[in-house]
Amino acid sequence: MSITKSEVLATARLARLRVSEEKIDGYIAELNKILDVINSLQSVNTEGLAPVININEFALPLRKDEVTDGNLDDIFANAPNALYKHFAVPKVIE
Amino acid sequence: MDLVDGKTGKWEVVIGLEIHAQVSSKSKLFSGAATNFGAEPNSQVSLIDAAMPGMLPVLNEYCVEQAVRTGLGINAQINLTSVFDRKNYFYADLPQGYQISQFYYPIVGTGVIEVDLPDGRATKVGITRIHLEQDAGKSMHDQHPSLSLIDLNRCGIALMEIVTEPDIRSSIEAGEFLKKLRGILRYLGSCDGDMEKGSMRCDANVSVRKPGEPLGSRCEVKNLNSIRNVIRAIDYETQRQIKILEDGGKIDQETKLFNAATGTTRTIRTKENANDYRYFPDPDLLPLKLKPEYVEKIKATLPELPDSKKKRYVEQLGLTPYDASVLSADKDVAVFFEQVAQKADPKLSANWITAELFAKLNKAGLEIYQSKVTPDKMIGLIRLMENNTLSGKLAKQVFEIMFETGEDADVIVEREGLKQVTDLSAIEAVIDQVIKDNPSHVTEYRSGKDKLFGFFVGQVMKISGGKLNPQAVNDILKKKLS
Amino acid sequence: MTSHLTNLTIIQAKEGLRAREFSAVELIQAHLKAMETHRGLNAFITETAEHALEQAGKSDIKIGNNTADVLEGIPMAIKDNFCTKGIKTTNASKMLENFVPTYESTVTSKLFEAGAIMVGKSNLDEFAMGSSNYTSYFGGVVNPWKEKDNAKELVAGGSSGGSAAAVAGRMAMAATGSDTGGSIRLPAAFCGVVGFKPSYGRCSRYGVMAFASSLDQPGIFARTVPDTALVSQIAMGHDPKDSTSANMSVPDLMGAIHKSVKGLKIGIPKEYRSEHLDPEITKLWQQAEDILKAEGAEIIEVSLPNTKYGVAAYYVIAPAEASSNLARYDGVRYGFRSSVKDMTLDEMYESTRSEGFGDEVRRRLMIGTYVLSSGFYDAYFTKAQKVRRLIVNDFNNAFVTVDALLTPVTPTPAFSLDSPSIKDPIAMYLNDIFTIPASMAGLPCISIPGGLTSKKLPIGLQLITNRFEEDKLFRVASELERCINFNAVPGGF
Repeated sequence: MSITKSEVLATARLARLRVSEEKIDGYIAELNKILDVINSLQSVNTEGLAPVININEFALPLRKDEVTDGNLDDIFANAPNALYKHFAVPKVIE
Repeated sequence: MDLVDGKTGKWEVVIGLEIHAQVSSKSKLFSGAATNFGAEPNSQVSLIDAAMPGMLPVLNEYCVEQAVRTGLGINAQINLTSVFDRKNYFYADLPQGYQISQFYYPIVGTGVIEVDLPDGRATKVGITRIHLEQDAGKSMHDQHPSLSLIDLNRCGIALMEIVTEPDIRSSIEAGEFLKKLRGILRYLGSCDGDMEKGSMRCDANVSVRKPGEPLGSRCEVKNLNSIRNVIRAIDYETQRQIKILEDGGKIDQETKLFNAATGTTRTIRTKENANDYRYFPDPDLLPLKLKPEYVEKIKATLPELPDSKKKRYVEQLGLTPYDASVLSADKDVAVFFEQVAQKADPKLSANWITAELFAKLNKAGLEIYQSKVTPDKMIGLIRLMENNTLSGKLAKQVFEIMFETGEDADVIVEREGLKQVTDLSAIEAVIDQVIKDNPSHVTEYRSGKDKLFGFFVGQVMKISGGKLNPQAVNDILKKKLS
Repeated sequence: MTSHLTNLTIIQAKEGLRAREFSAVELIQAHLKAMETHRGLNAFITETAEHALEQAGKSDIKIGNNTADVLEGIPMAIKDNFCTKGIKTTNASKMLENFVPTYESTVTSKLFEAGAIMVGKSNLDEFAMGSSNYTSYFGGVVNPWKEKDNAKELVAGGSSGGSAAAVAGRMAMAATGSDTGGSIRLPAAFCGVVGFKPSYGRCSRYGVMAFASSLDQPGIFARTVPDTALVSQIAMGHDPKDSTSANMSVPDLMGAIHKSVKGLKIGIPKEYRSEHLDPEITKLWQQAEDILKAEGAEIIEVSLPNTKYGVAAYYVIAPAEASSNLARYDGVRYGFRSSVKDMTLDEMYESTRSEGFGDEVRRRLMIGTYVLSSGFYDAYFTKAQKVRRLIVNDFNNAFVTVDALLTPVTPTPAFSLDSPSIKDPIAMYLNDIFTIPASMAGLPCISIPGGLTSKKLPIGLQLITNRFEEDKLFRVASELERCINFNAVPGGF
């Protein structure tokens, strides 16, 4: 299974990454090399095996329903653009 | 069957709903920030909600409990093992770049909700699943010429997503279903069902087909924030789709938004640019495994729910199914009614609450718990009717005052002198007077004009200011006129 | 005096401080001087000299009135993917070049509370993705070691190259690192120091910038096994803020040091005898086997048949989780935002992420997004997770018969910057061939210096024990270290 140009572009779109026209062929070659390595998994017999989601199998810890957080004065400390106590981004037309 | 008329014949509407119900927790699903409505922007945001680097989710036990309660409340299967998955997409109100939801293994499986329709029919709506997920923040696009502003207060609040089977067949049915669901959620206390505040939102999936044919392409109308808008949006979509199909076109599967001002829907996403959410189990969270004892313990704490109450009202209290339905639908109303019915005649109580009290509350825009007429006061009023102190008509007058002032019925009756007169000699005196004053009418009545009976009753009431016991008046008049 | 202080072990330094042979301020000053002298190694992204001296003053007071904590006054380098409150934390990326956390990671919090002093934030591969430390936005880290008679600069290894170099270069006595597929063990091996990765769940991931959540594990570098044990004891422990944190008491690591290995069974996985393996490493591996046998351990050959699929499975799972973990870097709430004018929101995302992330990160995000996408999820991601199960089962089976496994860490010693393999992502990925499987199985593992090659470069040996058996791990590691007696120091340090 090797990756096509349209798949590269679709994947880049999903990841919000730009792949320029000049770079695209190089990218396809690189990704295909990685896919070659990954494709070796296809030949492994994994019948009846449960996938590993997390290696630990203890109970999911639960938290009491209490307000212990929020009201952070410094929530905007690293914000590139904050306005009227909001995070500001380029306007979205829905 | 509810069918819609088109140019080429009758159409069946197929509707499925997705309801997002905010869990009534104090803190968020995976963080300890508060969930209060209307707080200062970005004041209820933890580092986790803002998706700062290195932050990790920790699950709120109350939210798990409420999801289980809700599942039990709709007789659904509780999945003892469920998994949290990440739904990946980019949007400014989604700091993590993914929403933590449950895609593959939700906490609640299939269930069913029975819905009573206004025309007396009952229908069943299947529930496919309920799962827990994070809410997103809020974006405002109209506060600045070139910027959108993001408030993350809502981000991370726990939602229960309740998905129905496409079992609904009309917009009215959808409305009744939502009322029933909201009632159940409020009964359980797992969600306050306040659509105006946004703690309950609905997406409607609508398609049309000629009866008997396979399902048509559906369109999803998102984020409907009132039952009225759900109904309007469904109606609009139905008409829109029917027109397209009758003109020979086909329906494209699209996501739409409803414009409440114009009553129309518009497309925001087509199938082509639909997102690939790349769901995968969240590696920061282990699977949620519930013990059967935990579920049993919750089951034991469930309140009596609308359907049980309705049955009990009909079978034990003798109410009509309709009244029983109305009184059991809302928890506050049911509590009120049951308190009154404990000490006063249930049928009278039912009547007075659904006809008189509701009318006044609706006009004043009040909820039942805001009524100055408390259950005890209601009991007081009904007692006065039961012991003939007041006629129905007089009672209405008294009630009018009670609703405004919150006074007890007997206080008002005493002060206004509204006691119904039952003293037979007093009644006889008035009747004798009327008969004496209207000899020609008496003659006409006695010669066969039965309709004149009403005239005499009216005269008696006029003179007495309506204070005479109507039954007694009737009996004595009849005797004296014969 | 200076070089004497920076060559002490932590245990020696603690004794020296206690006996008032020198002050904490002097100890810190010596290390700050070393950092200045060896700035050319580029081991640090941020130096925190002022902060360190201030803390050293406080440590001296505590030492003075006998309230010194376990790590009082000990200089540590903190890998720059651990969020340190008020101190710039960049993850070696343009994306976070000016990011100053308003919060502290749990691990650093514990270390600082125990008296450890941060001398700087150490360099790493960008977003911890890499095995050379050459993908850092702030330039690569140079290994303190050089080949005999060869001035050519060598890589420190990655992703925790800065931390390893800081400890090897005597600029810190210990360092934090994070290990996802070998990012502590590999640089430890290349730099001739001890690098420890606990069982998954032992150290809290809270405040450590996530790369691959089901694999990431904070860990510790030091120059000796006992030093590593001392610091690790503090760093490990349950954290309710991390839902994957093990709610178990931390074993007594110091108590395990130098307990005899007599009667223990040491497994040698036959699949690790690879053609990729440098013959000098094979030799030192054999020598270590012989040492343990001489100390009374039983050597048993074991089989981990699915070892060969480790790299492939890892390069599905890690990038996939990373593609989701790195989605938050979008220029909205913190970090770099592209300054291109008149962009839509989506364009801003694209510009920010394309400009903010380096090549290797972008490559992994692409692969990760791809293997999770519709149509490929089952074939790639679920498949890889099932193969991971096979790898876990391999180890479970092995540990029925043996107490610990002894393996190489890297196929080769540290390589040079102009090595062609540096530009080849696949060749880089193959560096992790011996370290990935233990990460996949969440096992505790440690790299200790195994000796020097003929060209006088250090190589590492890896010990792996079963989950949560860190005490057994340190027992074997301390004995092996004692017998190997590695006391080489990089030239000029």
